[in-house]
Amino acid sequence: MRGDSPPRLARRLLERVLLPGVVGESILGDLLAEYRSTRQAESRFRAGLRYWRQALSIAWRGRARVDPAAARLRRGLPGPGAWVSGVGGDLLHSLRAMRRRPQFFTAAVLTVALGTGATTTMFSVADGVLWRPLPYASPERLVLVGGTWPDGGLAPLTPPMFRDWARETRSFESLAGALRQQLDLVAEGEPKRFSAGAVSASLAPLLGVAPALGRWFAAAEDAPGSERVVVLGDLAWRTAWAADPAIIGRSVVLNERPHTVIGVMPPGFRPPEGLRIGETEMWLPLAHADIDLDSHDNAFVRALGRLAPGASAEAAHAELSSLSDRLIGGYPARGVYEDFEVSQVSLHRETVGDIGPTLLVFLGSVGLLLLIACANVAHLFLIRGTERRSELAVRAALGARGSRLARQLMTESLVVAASGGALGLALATLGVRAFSAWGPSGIPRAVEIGVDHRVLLFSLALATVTALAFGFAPARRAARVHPSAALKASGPGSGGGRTGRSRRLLVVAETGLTLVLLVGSGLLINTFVRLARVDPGFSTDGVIAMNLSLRSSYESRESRLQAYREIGERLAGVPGVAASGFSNGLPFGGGGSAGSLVVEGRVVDEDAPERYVGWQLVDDGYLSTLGVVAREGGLLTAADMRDGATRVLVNEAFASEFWPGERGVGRRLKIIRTGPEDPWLEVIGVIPDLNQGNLARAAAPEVYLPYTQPPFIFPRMTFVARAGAEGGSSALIPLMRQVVWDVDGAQPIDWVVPLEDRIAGSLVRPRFYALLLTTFATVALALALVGVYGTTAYSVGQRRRELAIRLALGASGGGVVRLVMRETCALLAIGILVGLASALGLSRVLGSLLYGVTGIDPATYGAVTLLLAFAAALAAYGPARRAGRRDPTVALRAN
Amino acid sequence: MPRASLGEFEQLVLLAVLRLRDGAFAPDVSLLLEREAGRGVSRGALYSSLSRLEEKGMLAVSVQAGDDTRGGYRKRRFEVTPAGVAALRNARDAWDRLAAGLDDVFREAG
Repeated sequence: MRGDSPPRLARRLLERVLLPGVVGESILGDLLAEYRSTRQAESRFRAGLRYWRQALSIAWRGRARVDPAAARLRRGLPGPGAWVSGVGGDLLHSLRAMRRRPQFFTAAVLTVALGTGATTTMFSVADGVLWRPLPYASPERLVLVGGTWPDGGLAPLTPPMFRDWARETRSFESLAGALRQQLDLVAEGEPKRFSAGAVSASLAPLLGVAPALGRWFAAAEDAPGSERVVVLGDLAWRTAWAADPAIIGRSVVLNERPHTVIGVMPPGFRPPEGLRIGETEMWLPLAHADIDLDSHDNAFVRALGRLAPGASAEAAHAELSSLSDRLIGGYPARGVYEDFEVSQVSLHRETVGDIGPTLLVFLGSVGLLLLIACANVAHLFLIRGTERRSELAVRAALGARGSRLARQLMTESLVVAASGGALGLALATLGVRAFSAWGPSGIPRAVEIGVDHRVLLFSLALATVTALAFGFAPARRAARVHPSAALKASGPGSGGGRTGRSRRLLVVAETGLTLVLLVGSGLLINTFVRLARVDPGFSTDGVIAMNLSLRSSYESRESRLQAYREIGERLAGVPGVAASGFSNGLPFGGGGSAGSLVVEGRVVDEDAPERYVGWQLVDDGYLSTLGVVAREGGLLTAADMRDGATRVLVNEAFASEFWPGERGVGRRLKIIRTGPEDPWLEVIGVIPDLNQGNLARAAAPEVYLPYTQPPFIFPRMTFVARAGAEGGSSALIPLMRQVVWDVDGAQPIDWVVPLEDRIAGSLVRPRFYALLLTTFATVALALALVGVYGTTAYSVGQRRRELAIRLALGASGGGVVRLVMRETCALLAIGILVGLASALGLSRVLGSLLYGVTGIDPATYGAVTLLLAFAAALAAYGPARRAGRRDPTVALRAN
Repeated sequence: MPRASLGEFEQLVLLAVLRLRDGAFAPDVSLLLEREAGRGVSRGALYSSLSRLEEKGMLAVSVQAGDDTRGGYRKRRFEVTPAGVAALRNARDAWDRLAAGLDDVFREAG
């Protein structure tokens, strides 16, 4: 008989609220009988609704309301007519108190909501990115392994090396390799390009995932010569095949070869970011990757391992090191393995990368904000506590125990914290959405950010801690109330003593914390402004960039060169294009390569036999399209694009490192080395540093080579075109696509965007960080100002009588204003000093986020100190001025 | 003993209990008030008033055994005491005295 009993929660509430005894019992009985008759006469829903309404009304209005003063006295002492129990009573009393003092409670709840909302938002982000386990089975056992780049980073392995490691290792349960591939699907309409991962058959079991449909590769399918199979990612399956479940077993033509579809991965499955295979839309067995699997020439394969039970990361590293030494001894080509060193990093660390400190800085900042919010609410409660001193004293005199009064005050702070926490959680839900929508791209694991039960638990704990933080001091004071002392001191004019000290302490703390946040946001704003002013060395106005990865049918160097040349020539002929060109690297777009450098007449690096510097291939139009003008010498011309040409350009960073203070033009160097008979390359021009990769990093030395010069050429190129004076640049986008398809109708295009978009991208993070911290600091400032205003107004109110006497005895209004201001300003000064000292200590954590300013930038410190001092003094001036203008007779007459 | 004063809602509650004559239970009082006085009654307010009137000695309470429909919970039956009747009479007298001669005003307003 489920419908026979009233809603359980409402009933619990009643049972909690009603005292045992015949009164409570009869009420329960009345309501139960009514519930049952309503349910029969009308509906279960209406009966339940009615029961709830009655239960709530009893809980709310239940206590005898003889007259307010008597009711207040009786609270806490069960009187003859009381039939509502203790804690429930405290709760209801708090709710009623909230109704009586709406401004006080609105202010308190909003402040708590702001603090917990901001903190919960940042916690959700940090939790999603940093702390939540990776979405794979036992992720803590997953380790990325490989060689070592010259800069110490984790490098990929040659295919034979990977194969031998995977076969021989004992420290790893299994080892999976992966490399990035592209698969072109030519169906009707535009050719589609999918980013694919060529991966070991062991990858899915190693991660503990399985396809949602069909199956994963069998080990036998990951062997050369086997039938070609493909597993689809969820997105590709939905977009290209309309989520057709009959796809399993069908044959599709990818890269002009038939592949059998054997499975579809579950939605939301993403390969580990450390494998660098991107947002993989399709999966192939590694054995069918588009590379020579027996070649020692190039290191392509990223490797992920699962540590065997009982094996430590250190033991695994040692095993791989000795294994590599032995293997290299047996390999035919030792050159590429010179100085080979094993690198190993946990998947979690590689995935999260360097975002950790940044997020912790922001989490710390919102923590400060929360502290300020708590200080403000504690402040409100202290003031309120002083106001009701006489009430508490009377109740203590009537026999209420201190602990009883403290409990009631704590209930009030808990109610405020709970309401504020609930509101804060709602704010956080919005905040997290805003963060995902407007946050910078490239935050790892961004899709995993969300509000879930962990976040709920966190904000619950936060609200409780908050309540304890701001409710403790007033409650403790209430518990110590000595009736006679309190009654005696309950008149106005008694604002000093303990309350006064606590309040002054809070003002100092608020000022200090706010200053710390202001300094942080000031430094980040400074960073952003400086970054926005960095001259990138080129102009992006009206330039469209288009990236192209040639299809796999362009295998030979000749066919690739031919394609680039033809597309480049046609592009220059498009109406509306004023200038055009191409290169394998873009400013901020990555690309380019590194080669080991020899400079004529210089020891490149005394410590190392080889020095790698970046090089980039360009045609004769690329640099002038970007508006680059040579600082010395000239740019490359069409004649330099002939086979066998040996003229190159270097950037200023290169010239100033290798020929400081001297001319660079006419010097000779070698960069891409194939043997001792490499020709010397002649520098004919020095161009400005085109900031590669990141505005904030100083430019690295670079060499610019004609694209025809190296003995090989990669199948990836970026074309740029600048629109002429007439016509917008975005009109070029479809024309540029068409140029490619005129040359090869089956050639997909990776992306076409205005170059500006790619540059702005590198400013997005600093701008976002500055915006975030500035928001926190602004809220903190507002809270602190409210605090300063409140404490001044309150202290003026408390000293009404004293100030009136001063005025009556002849003190001038200005003198009173000065008196009040002197006191507040002293507090502000202490707070600012404390804040400056803390900011100096804490600014180090901002380190990596700053550019062009140091953590102790005096201008920033000075500016925010002035801002805070001025604003806070202004907040205090209002109440002080009112005190000075008050008519002493009126003030003295009031009680 | 000084005469206790009655709030308007308390008067209505007492009248409803009187009207129900042989024993009023809280839900019946609530129903009657809703029907005759044309106002919604908050159950919390009703129980408060009943307890308060009992404290003031204007209502007498007898406890009866509960039947099955009310889950075996005992029920309280309310009766108006002589003091309660006296207080109502006082209130009506005062009303009558003050309202005397104002009939035309009431008519116009109605």
